[in-house]
Amino acid sequence: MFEVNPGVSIWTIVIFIVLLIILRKFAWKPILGILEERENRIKSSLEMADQVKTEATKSLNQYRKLIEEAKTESIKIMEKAEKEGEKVKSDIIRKANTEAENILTKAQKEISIQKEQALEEIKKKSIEFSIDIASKLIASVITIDQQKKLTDKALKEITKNL
Amino acid sequence: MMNLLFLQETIQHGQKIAQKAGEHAVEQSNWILRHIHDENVFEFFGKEIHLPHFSLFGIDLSVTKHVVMLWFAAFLLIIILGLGARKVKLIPKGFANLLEILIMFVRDEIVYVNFGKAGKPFVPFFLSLFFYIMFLNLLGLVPFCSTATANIRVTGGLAFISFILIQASGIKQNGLGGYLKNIVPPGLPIWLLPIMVPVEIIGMFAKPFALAIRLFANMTGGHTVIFVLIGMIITFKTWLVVPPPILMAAILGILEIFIALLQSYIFTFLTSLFISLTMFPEH
Repeated sequence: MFEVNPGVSIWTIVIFIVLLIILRKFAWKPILGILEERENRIKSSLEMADQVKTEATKSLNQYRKLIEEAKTESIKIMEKAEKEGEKVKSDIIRKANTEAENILTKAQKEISIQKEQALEEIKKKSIEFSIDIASKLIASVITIDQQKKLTDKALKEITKNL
Repeated sequence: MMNLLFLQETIQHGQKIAQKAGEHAVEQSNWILRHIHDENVFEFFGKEIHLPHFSLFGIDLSVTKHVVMLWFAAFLLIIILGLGARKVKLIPKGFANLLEILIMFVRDEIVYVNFGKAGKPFVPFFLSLFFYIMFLNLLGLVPFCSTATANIRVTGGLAFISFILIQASGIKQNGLGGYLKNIVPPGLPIWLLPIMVPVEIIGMFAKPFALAIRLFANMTGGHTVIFVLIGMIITFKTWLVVPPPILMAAILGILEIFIALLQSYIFTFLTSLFISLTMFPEH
């Protein structure tokens, strides 16, 4: 069993070298190439994913900040608008009040004027009527001077009563 | 007197039985050895195919059973890996996955672990070595095939390749002077040189020798145990003992598959380790 016979060893070496050459060309080169390519791709994809993630976080923070800013801005705007509204409201009320007062005073004035006028009118008319009636009653009896005196007297009395 | 005669007869009878058993044992061991032994006959379905004898430059290069197995394993590898190489795509699937696991295991756990990325040119060699030994080992478990790696000449041939590569890569990496300087570990006191130089040179040859013996012994041992277990059935000549040996042989068969993979890994890994040690002795 152990006689020196290198024949099989030589066969082994020769077959192995031939196998190595063939496999190297037809199996290992393509397979290892693809494996390496895949690893590179995975690596680059992971790196890209990382990059995208950091970018996304960055922009997310940016947006958050923007939203925060917009919120405070809107609160400010609303407060301002409220203030302005309040001011406008009070302005309008004040204006309306003064207007109303104006109108009221004007109307009172008008009324008083009208009243004066009406009273004047009534005075005149009543004098005329009374003169008419009186003259008719005592047409021939009283002279014009007397008439005038009477009239004045009557007028005085009337105005006093008024 | 009668007693003595009886005793003698008894002894003779015992001797006869022992002789018979011994003959039987020899018969069986011959039968087992035939399965492990290399010969110029290839048995196939009970038919014996006689293989050609020839020699070149006085060296007997006869084709033997194990040479046929060497051819067959190489042929199978080329077919399977040639087809597998086409299936390996960027997106792995099915059979390609299995192939890739083994290939990446060899690349990362055998080559890169010892060399780092500098071992890239060695990857095809180690892949071929690993797959070839693995196929030779596994084919030993296939019916009608024999285990070429249970032949010390085959493992010796493989170890010879390792030996040449170990020394050649050391010389190529460090130059002849550097290589010779690296035979002894760095920082050794000068007065130890007369002892250490022979020891290291013996170690240089012992490494591949151990590789060859380890693979050979493992493959021979496992197969012999299976044959012995099966042989028990024939020795006892009764159907009653059939189940236990068959069961044990089946379990050992599974263990053998594991050993076949493990030994191909160990052979390849140690070769890789030795090469990296001669290339980068400072590590």
